[in-house]
Amino acid sequence: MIDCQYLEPTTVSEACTLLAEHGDDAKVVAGGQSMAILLRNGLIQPSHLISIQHVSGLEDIVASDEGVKIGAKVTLDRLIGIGETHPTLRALDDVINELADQQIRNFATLGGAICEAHPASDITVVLSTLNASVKLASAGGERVVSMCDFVTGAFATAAQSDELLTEVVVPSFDLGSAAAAHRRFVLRAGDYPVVGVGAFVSLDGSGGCQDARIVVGNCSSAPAHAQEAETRLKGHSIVGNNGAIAEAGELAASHVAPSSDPMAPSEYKIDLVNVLTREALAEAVARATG
Amino acid sequence: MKYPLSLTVNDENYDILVEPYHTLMEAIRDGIGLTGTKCACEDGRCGTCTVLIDGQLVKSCLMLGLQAKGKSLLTIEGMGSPDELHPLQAAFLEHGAVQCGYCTPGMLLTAKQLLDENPNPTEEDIRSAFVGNLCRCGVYTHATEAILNVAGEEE
Ligand SMILES: Cc1cc2nc3c(=O)[nH]c(=O)nc-3n(C[C@H](O)[C@H](O)[C@H](O)COP(=O)(O)OP(=O)(O)OC[C@H]3O[C@@H](n4cnc5c(N)ncnc54)[C@H](O)[C@@H]3O)c2cc1C
Repeated sequence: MIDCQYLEPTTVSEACTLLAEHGDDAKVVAGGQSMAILLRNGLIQPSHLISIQHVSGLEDIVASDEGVKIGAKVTLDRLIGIGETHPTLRALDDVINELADQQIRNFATLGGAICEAHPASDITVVLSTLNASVKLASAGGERVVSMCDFVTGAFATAAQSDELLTEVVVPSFDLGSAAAAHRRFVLRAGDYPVVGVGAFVSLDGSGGCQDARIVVGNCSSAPAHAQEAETRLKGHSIVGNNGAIAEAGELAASHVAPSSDPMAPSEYKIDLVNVLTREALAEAVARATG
Repeated sequence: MKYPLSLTVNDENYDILVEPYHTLMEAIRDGIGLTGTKCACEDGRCGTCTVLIDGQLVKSCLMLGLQAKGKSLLTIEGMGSPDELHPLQAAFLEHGAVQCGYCTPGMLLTAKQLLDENPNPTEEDIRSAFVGNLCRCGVYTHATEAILNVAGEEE
């Protein structure tokens, strides 16, 4: 094991200075729920660990004109039931209290769950479905990246090695005519899902679909939009139209090419995409009309 | 480079030295020498290494030792002693909620935290509390009975 230093900045700007200084050899530690394992098993050997445990100002949840802003250090446990206070985040309620377990949710942070960029992540799927974006701070300033562009591959993100994720912004939408839902399939409680699907719909006044987003998790290296299914729905009737929802499920399934793994063979995952897409869509439509 | 780590475990203060990449589990077992906290899966699933940190459940293999600086821990050694078992320990014995015993320390801390937060759990509450604690002998039914029993007695 190489020599490793542990640094504990207390502000975002201090953390950014340290990241700029140590760059590629440094790693941020938030809750440690993914990092501790990587370090213990020697899978990564950074020269500097920059703990953001004592960095202040990253733990707020605030509703603003832009939408709901959630600080990077907000724990998953604190997000349980978030849809009751911030209804645009209701799709998070579909998954959060089933995600991992109490021990992990107590310390796992939202920023860590995003930056881990696990191909089976539920969090990145839900946030992409909600068209969320993340704020990245560095010594050079701040930039905003859409969640749809943030995860670039398995365990890879658009964040540079000197950038700190500080905040997630979930944009507002009209709760009277739009909603999102998430559905996942797990083999054992507490596991990452075999497949997860998020769906967002916004409706026009006559039961038609104005906009749709369908995001599939764990069928490729990063969350993927089911574009053909989205196109099929946009501009067409969806309320009470089970045929359209079924077609969207078929289309989403016919455009994924997941690899087989010990959890499930490829064909099984493809079937799951079909079923979960239909379920998530039906639930989103029910919520938007309910 | 080793760093000083001061923390309280079972009401005793400890000052040890740890590498930044050492997990809390390694700090507890190797640094402090309390080996009741078990290590099994090493990927965060099994929960045998569960301890309480400032009253919150944590899998000690999923946190770095230095993240626990200044914190107060409860491990299985602090829950009860052979002469003076914690009511949950006594109930686990009585209900045969122990087979090989490897998951027991983690299960007991999870059970304790559950009752601290929810003195009257339903069977369903107990089941979801154990999501993070794997028992391959399958003592869940017995453990559930034990917890319900303790909850009933304390009422
Ligand atoms: C057994 C188990 C089951 C799980 N199941 C699921 C599941 O079903 N679904 C799911 O979605 N997730 C699941 N997770 C993942 C879990 O959500 C993440 O491990 C956790 O959220 C990571 O957060 P953390 O704060 O502990 O991050 P850390 O472990 O501290 O960091 C994770 C990564 O993010 C980087 N990072 C952290 N914060 C920042 C920041 N602010 N800016 C820049 N980089 C940062 C770190 O450098 C590191 O690369 C599971 C994890 C485990 C261990």
